[in-house]
Amino acid sequence: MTISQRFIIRNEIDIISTRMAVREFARRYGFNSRDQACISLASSSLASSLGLGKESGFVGLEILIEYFESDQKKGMRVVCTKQRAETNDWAAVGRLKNSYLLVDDIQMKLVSQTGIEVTVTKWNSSYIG
Amino acid sequence: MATNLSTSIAPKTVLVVEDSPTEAENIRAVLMGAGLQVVLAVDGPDGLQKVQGVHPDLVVMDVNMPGMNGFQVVRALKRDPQCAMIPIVMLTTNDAPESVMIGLDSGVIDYIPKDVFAMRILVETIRQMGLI
Repeated sequence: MTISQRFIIRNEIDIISTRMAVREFARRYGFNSRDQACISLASSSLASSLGLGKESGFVGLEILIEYFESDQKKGMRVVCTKQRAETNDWAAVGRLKNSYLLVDDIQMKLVSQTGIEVTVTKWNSSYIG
Repeated sequence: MATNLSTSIAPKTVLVVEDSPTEAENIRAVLMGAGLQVVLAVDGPDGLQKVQGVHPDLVVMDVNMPGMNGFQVVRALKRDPQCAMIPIVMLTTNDAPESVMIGLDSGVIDYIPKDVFAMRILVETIRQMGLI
Protein backbone atom coordinates (compact mmCIF):
# COMPACT_ATOMS: atom_id res chain seq x y z
CA MET A 1 0.00 0.00 0.00
CA THR A 2 1.28 3.47 -0.87
CA ILE A 3 -0.40 6.80 -0.16
CA SER A 4 1.09 10.05 -1.40
CA GLN A 5 0.65 13.81 -1.36
CA ARG A 6 2.51 16.38 -3.49
CA PHE A 7 3.50 19.97 -2.64
CA ILE A 8 4.90 22.68 -4.87
CA ILE A 9 7.44 24.86 -3.05
CA ARG A 10 7.31 28.46 -4.29
CA ASN A 11 8.58 30.36 -1.27
CA GLU A 12 9.58 30.19 2.38
CA ILE A 13 5.97 29.96 3.53
CA ASP A 14 5.51 26.81 1.46
CA ILE A 15 8.47 25.21 3.26
CA ILE A 16 6.78 25.85 6.59
CA SER A 17 3.42 24.59 5.33
CA THR A 18 5.05 21.45 3.97
CA ARG A 19 6.90 20.86 7.23
CA MET A 20 3.60 20.96 9.08
CA ALA A 21 1.95 18.74 6.45
CA VAL A 22 4.72 16.16 6.75
CA ARG A 23 4.24 16.07 10.50
CA GLU A 24 0.48 15.70 10.18
CA PHE A 25 0.93 12.99 7.55
CA ALA A 26 3.28 11.09 9.88
CA ARG A 27 0.87 11.45 12.79
CA ARG A 28 -2.05 10.24 10.69
CA TYR A 29 -0.21 7.06 9.71
CA GLY A 30 0.81 6.11 13.22
CA PHE A 31 4.34 7.48 13.63
CA ASN A 32 5.15 8.46 17.19
CA SER A 33 5.92 12.02 18.24
CA ARG A 34 9.68 11.53 17.98
CA ASP A 35 9.44 10.10 14.46
CA GLN A 36 7.08 12.93 13.45
CA ALA A 37 9.59 15.52 14.64
CA CYS A 38 12.49 13.76 12.90
CA ILE A 39 10.90 13.49 9.47
CA SER A 40 9.36 16.98 9.53
CA LEU A 41 12.65 18.61 10.56
CA ALA A 42 14.55 16.64 7.91
CA SER A 43 12.04 17.69 5.24
CA SER A 44 12.26 21.39 5.97
CA SER A 45 16.06 21.25 6.17
CA LEU A 46 16.11 19.54 2.80
CA ALA A 47 13.76 22.00 1.10
CA SER A 48 15.63 24.94 2.61
CA SER A 49 18.98 23.66 1.43
CA LEU A 50 17.73 23.31 -2.14
CA GLY A 51 15.77 26.55 -2.33
CA LEU A 52 17.08 29.22 -0.01
CA GLY A 53 19.72 31.65 -1.25
CA LYS A 54 19.98 29.97 -4.62
CA GLU A 55 20.20 31.69 -7.99
CA SER A 56 17.27 29.67 -9.28
CA GLY A 57 15.41 30.12 -6.00
CA PHE A 58 12.43 27.85 -5.60
CA VAL A 59 11.80 27.36 -9.31
CA GLY A 60 10.82 23.77 -10.05
CA LEU A 61 11.06 22.67 -6.42
CA GLU A 62 8.52 20.18 -5.17
CA ILE A 63 8.06 17.66 -2.43
CA LEU A 64 6.27 14.33 -2.57
CA ILE A 65 5.32 12.62 0.68
CA GLU A 66 4.66 8.89 0.56
CA TYR A 67 3.50 6.47 3.19
CA PHE A 68 4.15 2.84 2.40
CA GLU A 69 3.86 -0.46 4.18
CA SER A 70 4.71 -4.06 3.63
CA ASP A 71 4.40 -7.13 5.84
CA GLN A 72 7.60 -6.26 7.65
CA LYS A 73 7.80 -2.47 7.76
CA LYS A 74 5.86 0.75 7.69
CA GLY A 75 7.63 3.86 6.52
CA MET A 76 7.49 7.32 5.05
CA ARG A 77 9.44 8.78 2.16
CA VAL A 78 9.89 12.46 1.47
CA VAL A 79 11.09 13.04 -2.08
CA CYS A 80 12.36 16.54 -2.83
CA THR A 81 12.88 17.31 -6.52
CA LYS A 82 14.45 20.37 -8.10
CA GLN A 83 14.26 20.59 -11.87
CA ARG A 84 17.18 22.97 -12.33
CA ALA A 85 19.86 21.94 -9.94
CA GLU A 86 22.87 24.15 -9.30
CA THR A 87 26.39 22.92 -8.82
CA ASN A 88 26.32 23.74 -5.10
CA ASP A 89 23.06 21.84 -4.49
CA TRP A 90 24.95 18.57 -4.10
CA ALA A 91 27.19 20.07 -1.48
CA ALA A 92 24.23 21.68 0.27
CA VAL A 93 22.41 18.38 0.52
CA GLY A 94 25.59 16.67 1.66
CA ARG A 95 25.84 19.14 4.51
CA LEU A 96 22.49 18.06 5.92
CA LYS A 97 24.16 16.39 8.85
CA ASN A 98 21.03 16.65 10.96
CA SER A 99 19.07 14.64 8.46
CA TYR A 100 21.51 11.75 8.51
CA LEU A 101 20.74 11.27 12.18
CA LEU A 102 17.06 12.09 11.93
CA VAL A 103 16.12 9.64 9.20
CA ASP A 104 17.04 6.09 8.24
CA ASP A 105 18.15 6.66 4.68
CA ILE A 106 19.03 9.48 2.30
CA GLN A 107 19.47 8.95 -1.43
CA MET A 108 20.47 11.57 -3.98
CA LYS A 109 20.34 11.21 -7.75
CA LEU A 110 20.30 13.19 -10.96
CA VAL A 111 16.98 13.34 -12.78
CA SER A 112 16.28 14.41 -16.36
CA GLN A 113 19.87 15.63 -16.86
CA THR A 114 19.51 18.96 -15.07
CA GLY A 115 17.53 18.04 -12.00
CA ILE A 116 18.28 16.63 -8.59
CA GLU A 117 16.12 14.32 -6.51
CA VAL A 118 16.71 13.67 -2.82
CA THR A 119 14.76 10.98 -1.01
CA VAL A 120 14.71 10.64 2.76
CA THR A 121 13.14 7.57 4.34
CA LYS A 122 11.95 7.11 7.90
CA TRP A 123 10.73 3.81 9.25
CA ASN A 124 8.00 3.73 11.86
CA SER A 125 10.09 2.93 14.93
CA SER A 126 7.03 1.84 16.93
CA TYR A 127 5.97 -0.80 14.42
CA ILE A 128 7.05 -4.36 14.95
CA GLY A 129 6.04 -6.39 11.92
CA MET B 1 -23.05 28.93 30.72
CA ALA B 2 -21.15 32.19 30.75
CA THR B 3 -18.48 30.58 32.88
CA ASN B 4 -18.10 27.72 30.43
CA LEU B 5 -17.81 30.13 27.54
CA SER B 6 -15.14 32.19 29.24
CA THR B 7 -13.23 29.03 30.10
CA SER B 8 -13.33 27.74 26.54
CA ILE B 9 -11.98 30.97 25.04
CA ALA B 10 -9.39 31.68 27.72
CA PRO B 11 -5.96 31.99 26.11
CA LYS B 12 -3.59 29.10 26.62
CA THR B 13 -0.46 29.77 28.62
CA VAL B 14 3.06 29.22 27.33
CA LEU B 15 6.08 29.25 29.63
CA VAL B 16 9.17 30.45 27.76
CA VAL B 17 12.48 29.45 29.35
CA GLU B 18 15.09 31.64 27.69
CA ASP B 19 18.13 33.34 29.23
CA SER B 20 18.52 36.04 26.57
CA PRO B 21 16.20 38.95 27.42
CA THR B 22 16.13 40.06 23.78
CA GLU B 23 15.20 36.60 22.52
CA ALA B 24 12.66 36.15 25.30
CA GLU B 25 10.91 39.40 24.42
CA ASN B 26 10.93 38.49 20.75
CA ILE B 27 9.31 35.13 21.45
CA ARG B 28 6.82 36.72 23.84
CA ALA B 29 5.77 39.27 21.22
CA VAL B 30 5.21 36.60 18.59
CA LEU B 31 3.25 34.29 20.89
CA MET B 32 1.13 37.10 22.32
CA GLY B 33 0.41 38.18 18.76
CA ALA B 34 -0.91 34.66 18.19
CA GLY B 35 -3.30 35.07 21.09
CA LEU B 36 -1.38 33.22 23.78
CA GLN B 37 -0.61 34.19 27.34
CA VAL B 38 3.13 34.14 27.96
CA VAL B 39 5.17 33.75 31.13
CA LEU B 40 8.94 34.17 30.97
CA ALA B 41 11.56 32.30 32.97
CA VAL B 42 15.12 33.58 32.87
CA ASP B 43 16.89 30.23 33.33
CA GLY B 44 16.35 26.56 34.13
CA PRO B 45 15.76 26.81 37.90
CA ASP B 46 13.39 29.74 37.32
CA GLY B 47 11.57 27.63 34.74
CA LEU B 48 11.21 24.69 37.12
CA GLN B 49 9.82 26.99 39.79
CA LYS B 50 7.40 28.80 37.48
CA VAL B 51 6.04 25.66 35.89
CA GLN B 52 4.68 24.62 39.29
CA GLY B 53 2.81 27.87 39.78
CA VAL B 54 1.73 28.53 36.21
CA HIS B 55 0.76 25.02 35.03
CA PRO B 56 1.42 26.01 31.41
CA ASP B 57 -0.17 24.36 28.40
CA LEU B 58 3.22 24.37 26.67
CA VAL B 59 6.86 25.04 27.55
CA VAL B 60 9.20 26.61 24.99
CA MET B 61 12.72 25.76 26.05
CA ASP B 62 16.12 27.16 25.12
CA VAL B 63 19.07 24.73 25.29
CA ASN B 64 22.21 26.70 26.03
CA MET B 65 21.67 28.41 29.37
CA PRO B 66 24.05 29.02 32.26
CA GLY B 67 23.86 26.72 35.24
CA MET B 68 21.28 24.26 34.04
CA ASN B 69 20.88 23.59 30.33
CA GLY B 70 17.59 22.95 28.58
CA PHE B 71 18.09 19.18 28.42
CA GLN B 72 18.56 19.02 32.20
CA VAL B 73 15.42 21.10 32.72
CA VAL B 74 13.42 18.83 30.40
CA ARG B 75 14.63 15.72 32.22
CA ALA B 76 13.66 17.28 35.57
CA LEU B 77 10.19 18.10 34.24
CA LYS B 78 9.72 14.61 32.80
CA ARG B 79 10.68 13.04 36.15
CA ASP B 80 8.01 15.06 37.96
CA PRO B 81 4.62 13.29 37.62
CA GLN B 82 2.83 16.65 37.88
CA CYS B 83 4.74 18.09 34.92
CA ALA B 84 5.61 15.04 32.85
CA MET B 85 2.67 15.45 30.46
CA ILE B 86 3.27 19.13 29.68
CA PRO B 87 4.37 19.35 26.05
CA ILE B 88 7.78 20.92 25.50
CA VAL B 89 9.20 22.44 22.32
CA MET B 90 12.90 23.24 22.09
CA LEU B 91 13.72 26.48 20.32
CA THR B 92 17.45 27.00 20.07
CA THR B 93 20.44 28.12 18.05
CA ASN B 94 22.03 24.80 18.98
CA ASP B 95 21.28 22.75 15.86
CA ALA B 96 24.11 20.26 16.29
CA PRO B 97 22.84 16.82 15.19
CA GLU B 98 23.64 15.27 18.54
CA SER B 99 21.71 17.99 20.35
CA VAL B 100 18.66 17.50 18.16
CA MET B 101 18.63 13.80 19.00
CA ILE B 102 19.24 14.39 22.73
CA GLY B 103 16.31 16.80 22.72
CA LEU B 104 13.96 14.45 20.91
CA ASP B 105 15.05 11.48 23.01
CA SER B 106 14.36 13.44 26.20
CA GLY B 107 10.71 13.62 25.22
CA VAL B 108 10.22 17.05 23.66
CA ILE B 109 7.56 17.10 20.96
CA ASP B 110 9.55 19.26 18.54
CA TYR B 111 13.01 20.71 18.12
CA ILE B 112 13.09 23.99 16.22
CA PRO B 113 16.46 25.44 15.20
CA LYS B 114 16.47 29.24 15.38
CA ASP B 115 16.70 29.90 11.66
CA VAL B 116 14.76 32.39 9.58
CA PHE B 117 11.60 30.27 9.84
CA ALA B 118 11.78 29.52 13.55
CA MET B 119 9.05 31.83 14.82
CA ARG B 120 6.60 30.86 12.09
CA ILE B 121 7.28 27.18 12.67
CA LEU B 122 6.77 27.66 16.40
CA VAL B 123 3.39 29.33 15.86
CA GLU B 124 2.31 26.71 13.33
CA THR B 125 3.40 23.92 15.69
CA ILE B 126 1.30 25.47 18.45
CA ARG B 127 -1.61 25.80 16.03
CA GLN B 128 -1.24 22.13 15.06
CA MET B 129 -1.40 21.25 18.76
CA GLY B 130 -4.74 23.03 18.95
CA LEU B 131 -3.63 25.66 21.45
CA ILE B 132 -4.61 28.53 19.13
